[in-house]
Amino acid sequence: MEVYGDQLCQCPQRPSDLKTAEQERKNYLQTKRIFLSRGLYIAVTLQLFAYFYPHMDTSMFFYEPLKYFGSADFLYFYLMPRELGLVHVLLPLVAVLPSATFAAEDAHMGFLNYQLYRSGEKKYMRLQIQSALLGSVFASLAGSMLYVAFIALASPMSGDHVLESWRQIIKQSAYAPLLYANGWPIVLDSVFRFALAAAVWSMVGVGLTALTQNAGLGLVLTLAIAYQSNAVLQMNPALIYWSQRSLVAINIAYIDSLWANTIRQLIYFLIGITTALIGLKILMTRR
Amino acid sequence: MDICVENICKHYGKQEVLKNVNAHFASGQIHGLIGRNGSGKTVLFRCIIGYTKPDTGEVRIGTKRVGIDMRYPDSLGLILDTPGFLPQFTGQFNLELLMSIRGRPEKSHIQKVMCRVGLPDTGRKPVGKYSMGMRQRLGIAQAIMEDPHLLILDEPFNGLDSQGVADIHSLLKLLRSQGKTILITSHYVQDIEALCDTVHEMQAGILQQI
Amino acid sequence: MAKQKLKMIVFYTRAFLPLHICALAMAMAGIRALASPQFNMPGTTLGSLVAETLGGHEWNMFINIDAVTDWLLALLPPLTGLIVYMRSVMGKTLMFSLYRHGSKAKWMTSLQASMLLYTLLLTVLMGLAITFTGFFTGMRGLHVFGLDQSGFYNRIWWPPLFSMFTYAMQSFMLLEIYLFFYLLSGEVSIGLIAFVLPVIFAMLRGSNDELSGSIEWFINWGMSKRYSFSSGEYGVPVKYGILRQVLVNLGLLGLTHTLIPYLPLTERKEP
Repeated sequence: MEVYGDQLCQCPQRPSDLKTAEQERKNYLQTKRIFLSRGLYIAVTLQLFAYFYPHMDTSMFFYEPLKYFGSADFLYFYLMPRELGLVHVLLPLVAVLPSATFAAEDAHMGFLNYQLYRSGEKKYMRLQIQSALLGSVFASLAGSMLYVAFIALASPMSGDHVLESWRQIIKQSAYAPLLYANGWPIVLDSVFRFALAAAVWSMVGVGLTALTQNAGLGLVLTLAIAYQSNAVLQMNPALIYWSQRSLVAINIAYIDSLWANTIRQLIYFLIGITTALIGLKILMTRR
Repeated sequence: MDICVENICKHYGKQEVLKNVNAHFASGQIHGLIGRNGSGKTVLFRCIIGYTKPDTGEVRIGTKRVGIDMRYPDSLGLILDTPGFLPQFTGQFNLELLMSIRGRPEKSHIQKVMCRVGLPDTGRKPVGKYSMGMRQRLGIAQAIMEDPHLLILDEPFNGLDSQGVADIHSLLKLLRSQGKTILITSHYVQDIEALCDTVHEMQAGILQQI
Repeated sequence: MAKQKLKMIVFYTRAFLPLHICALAMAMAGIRALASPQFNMPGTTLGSLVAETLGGHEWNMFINIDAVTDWLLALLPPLTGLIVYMRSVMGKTLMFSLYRHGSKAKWMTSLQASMLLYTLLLTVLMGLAITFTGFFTGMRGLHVFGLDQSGFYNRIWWPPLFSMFTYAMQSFMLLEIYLFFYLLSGEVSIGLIAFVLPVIFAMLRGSNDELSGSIEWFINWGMSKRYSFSSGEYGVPVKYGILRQVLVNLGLLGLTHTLIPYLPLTERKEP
């Protein structure tokens, strides 16, 4: 056994001696933890599966995929899975799986004790929220952009295969100003909104997993809240635009303002962060 | 860094776990805490660290009061309960993750610390595959890696083989010579006799120096 | 010996059903009842509210994603208890209990028996929660109105119980799938995906009453509203659906028992 001398080397300086930039750089290990987590890759895979699933109804998808994706335009192939909505069903899972369960995992493993006296409560909470946001947004963006990249390569942007009927509907919806450049602005806008929704659900996931100290239970409860809130809000005509389904769906007849949509989602984001903070605070009190 | 515990009381429901505990732990010494299971040793440690808020009384480390002037002690190394790590990652990564919270993690430094506690060749082995003794050693490594002034070690020798116990003994003596304040508990009298400058006994929530 | 085994199963079942899990399941069922389209419709009885809330969805040529999430939501409560229970079972307590059973297969038998009892009990609790929710809002009567055996429109009592039974059977089947994948992978997320994806897949593929083979999809055996007594001639025949559901459950039990010696139950080191 190699014995390391009689002297421990000088330890890195304590936080008060460190410059801010250095303090921020060292958080890269929290980021590394996200990218080493299996949940992230499961989430991206789920997201991709959800995008491709509606196409699996057609046998041509399996036998002649490139011909299939060449049969209509890029915008159509993006809108179709979003309209059918499987991506929305799996969104809470995609949001929570990557890194929203870290706090619950830390508490369950006993790792929390070692982190807390080093970071303090506020910093720990900030790190958990940052990790959850980064993981969920990355998973959502990666899944969406991989699919977008595929259809951008495989499907025509213009020409005979453009489905004019869809474009006519879009021209009468709130998305009309974004209908140019082959629909790229619509695609990018919806990818952004989807990522924002993932961020919201990751915050709810952090709060619930921290509150229950059980990653699995927190996941299930997040799913339950996502589905139930959607059902309840969609039943009420006055509240329908507040349902998550309305906020992320690219219903091409969507006639409410996209700005109002964004503000609603930001309000939900604030509610999500509050949930996360409450859950984390309770976790640390009950530890 | 002296530790002063003044009039600490703690109840859990109707049960009084700490009864007016007073103690002074001088810096640069190893202080032993003995007592039966359930006597309140771990609760006292938790009060000192700031993880548990006592019902009455206060703990001062140096001139600062825990929970009032500072949430947790500034320079602390801790083993409490069974060491808990993220089982899917290596020991090295676990320590880097912890060290990154308030310092710049240096891989070579962490490797040296792991060598020092007897974990030189764990390589890519995840902590989930460690034996209990290895986890205990990793727990000790995480406690000492940032060169803290205060070490609180709750049964640090659990699960260690005789060579491991001897290594940790020599390590603690070295740290004492560097002026660290060390509080340990152990159920083994020989550990207490070999290491401690002072010994306190906890009996049904009452602390006495013996 | 049998009495001892029964006591053990009952004891395990109690462990599945702590108060907070019961409260959570009852709350989720109550909220679903409140959000149900039948709620507060004139003529709705308590029995029809139970049959509506636990009976799934009617056949639909174009099943929408909201129906999928609604049925998923309905199936989530039993999963919560299993997740909580398995976390404690698969921790250090497994080391103490497994060798006392004598074999992994015997351990699995008692676990699955407790799981079945738990599913049935939880379904009853959920039914009670739906009933009380309706009762406190003025609904009355545990019956539903439907055609009796003589062909007359009358009060009939068994549909709410039938919907609870089919719901419990489907929940148990999905819990078996969750358990299998959880034991195989050691990951709650893999188990959860194994629970969720079959439901979504089956709902989207097997909910169309124009598909000639749609009554073969397991999802329809768990929805009393898709049986022939509710849907008419296009519905799943009662004996057909129940028999298949029971056979699938038995098949899953058999599969898990066959494979349990090979599953890494104790080989993984738990923290």
